[in-house]
Amino acid sequence: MTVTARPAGAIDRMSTGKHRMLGLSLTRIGMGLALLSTYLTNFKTRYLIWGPDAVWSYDDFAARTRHGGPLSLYAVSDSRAWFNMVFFAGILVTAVWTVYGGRPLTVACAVFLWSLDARDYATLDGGDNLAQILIIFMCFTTTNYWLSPWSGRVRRREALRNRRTTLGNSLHNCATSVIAVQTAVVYLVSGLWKVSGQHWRDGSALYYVSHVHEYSHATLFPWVMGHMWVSLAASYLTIAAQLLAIPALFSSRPWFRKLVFSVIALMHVGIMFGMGLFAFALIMLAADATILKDSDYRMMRAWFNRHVVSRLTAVRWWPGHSTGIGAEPVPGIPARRSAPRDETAQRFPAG
Amino acid sequence: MSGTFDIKGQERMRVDFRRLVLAAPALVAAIYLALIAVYNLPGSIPRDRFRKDVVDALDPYFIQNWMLFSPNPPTTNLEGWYQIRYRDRTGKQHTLKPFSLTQAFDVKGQIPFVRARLGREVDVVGRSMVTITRQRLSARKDAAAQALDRASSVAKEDEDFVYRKVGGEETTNRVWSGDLEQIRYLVTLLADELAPPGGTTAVRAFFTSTPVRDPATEKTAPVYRVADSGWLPTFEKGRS
Repeated sequence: MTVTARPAGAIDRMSTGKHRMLGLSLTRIGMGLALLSTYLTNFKTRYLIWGPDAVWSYDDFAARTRHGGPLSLYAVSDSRAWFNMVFFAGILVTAVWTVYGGRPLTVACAVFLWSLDARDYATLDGGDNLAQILIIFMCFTTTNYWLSPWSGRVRRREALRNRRTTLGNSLHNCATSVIAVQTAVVYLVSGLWKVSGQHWRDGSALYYVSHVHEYSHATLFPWVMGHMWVSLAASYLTIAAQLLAIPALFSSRPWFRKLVFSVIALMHVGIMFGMGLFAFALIMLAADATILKDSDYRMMRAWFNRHVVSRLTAVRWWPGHSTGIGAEPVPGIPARRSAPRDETAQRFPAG
Repeated sequence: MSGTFDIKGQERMRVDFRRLVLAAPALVAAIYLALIAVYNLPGSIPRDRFRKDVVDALDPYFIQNWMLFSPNPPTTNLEGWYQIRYRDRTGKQHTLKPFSLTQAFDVKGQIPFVRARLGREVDVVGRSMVTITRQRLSARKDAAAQALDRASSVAKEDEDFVYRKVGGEETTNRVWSGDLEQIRYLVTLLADELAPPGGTTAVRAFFTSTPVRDPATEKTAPVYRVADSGWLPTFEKGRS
């Protein structure tokens, strides 16, 4: 019996070339900004939350670390100097990782993130939980193929590796798939739980969310959700989008994937500004970025260029504004050529 | 790289070791995804049967909770209250009106990401409330001092206020029961921070739960007191 051609072909495809590169780069930047906001918005109160004299006592924290809890750099010493050293190093590493990316920095950022979260787990939310998990898998991926000062160098290096099957490619693609599926699982599970909730079923869930003070940040949000038909539609749309996340992820139809995740992205923008949960929404948006394929981004860019950029450039914004193709000549100003010069025709005129 | 094996004289099996190594990450990924599927599916039979084993496998780095405002979103406003009883320099005892910690340290109007962090998950029980309250307290210490001044200026014995405010009924809530110790701890912290000059004789803290108006019936449910420290022993400023 030999290894059949089909699994062998799948293994070869999985370990040749890397996928979802732009999505991962966006995930890195979004998640990095969210983590930085955690550090910086709590900078003044860092001792109260994570310091040696924090509300959750250092002894309890150290005991939890020793008895199976997550490891933390903050558990090494209870001195304030050590705390500050780790804290400032965490800010620095996160900032550099956000800008540059790369595996060693991802590993370092993961260590600092887990150290910080382990110090006070009670202030964490679903976004932090997802960030903790995703950053472990991001350690096996290339997160700086795009949108990084090192991108050019990384792309040149990958251009050589992508032609053959390598363990690095396999690790990258599997970890990226896990990130995408894990994110979709978040939506699926949340959607399933929502279906069993009375307030989600009767359409009043977002009315309630918008009227609880802790989650009503913008004045407009409770007013809009005070209209029960709007609350009903938004609640049902939320459930539908969350339940469709897994089918959309595995769909062969890009429009379906883009539609579902556009609705989910819209939902998170609403959470960000309506409910004021900035870090949570940013982490979720960052995670969503990995779900779309590189081809999806290329199609979106082409669509944007075709329908938005080309129309914007075709508009005459002010009298005398020359926009290229189709622009009318303005007296006194020579018109731009509407088509590239045909050098061949000039050099070898007909006849 | 490949090898051939002869298994009990049967047909020969050729194994491509290189492809096996390349497939190893996919195998690990598949196992992980199977584990989180079992762990997450709400109320499923596999979840009930293998829950403990799966938790052991995922703990502590892959534990996950994705309920996110489900099955039902919060439907009440939780509010922390704080009350001081003290003896002035003439020896007269004053019981101040309770003032709302939640309002005193309301972070509305701040830029979104600051509020996001300060205001997050206040309805998480116990210590989280302590953490956030302390956080707010520290961030808005001036506001706290002003709130205390205002409360002091109208000092009179008016304990009934508390009962009017909370509906005159002591109730317990499943979420909040058992958190009294945490609230006592909160009170000791607050007393330390907020005790007025001259020392505080006693302090209490309690939390109220105000249901959001029912959109169907348009009725507002009564306010419930969900936890109360009761009057706690004497504190002197700076020590407890």
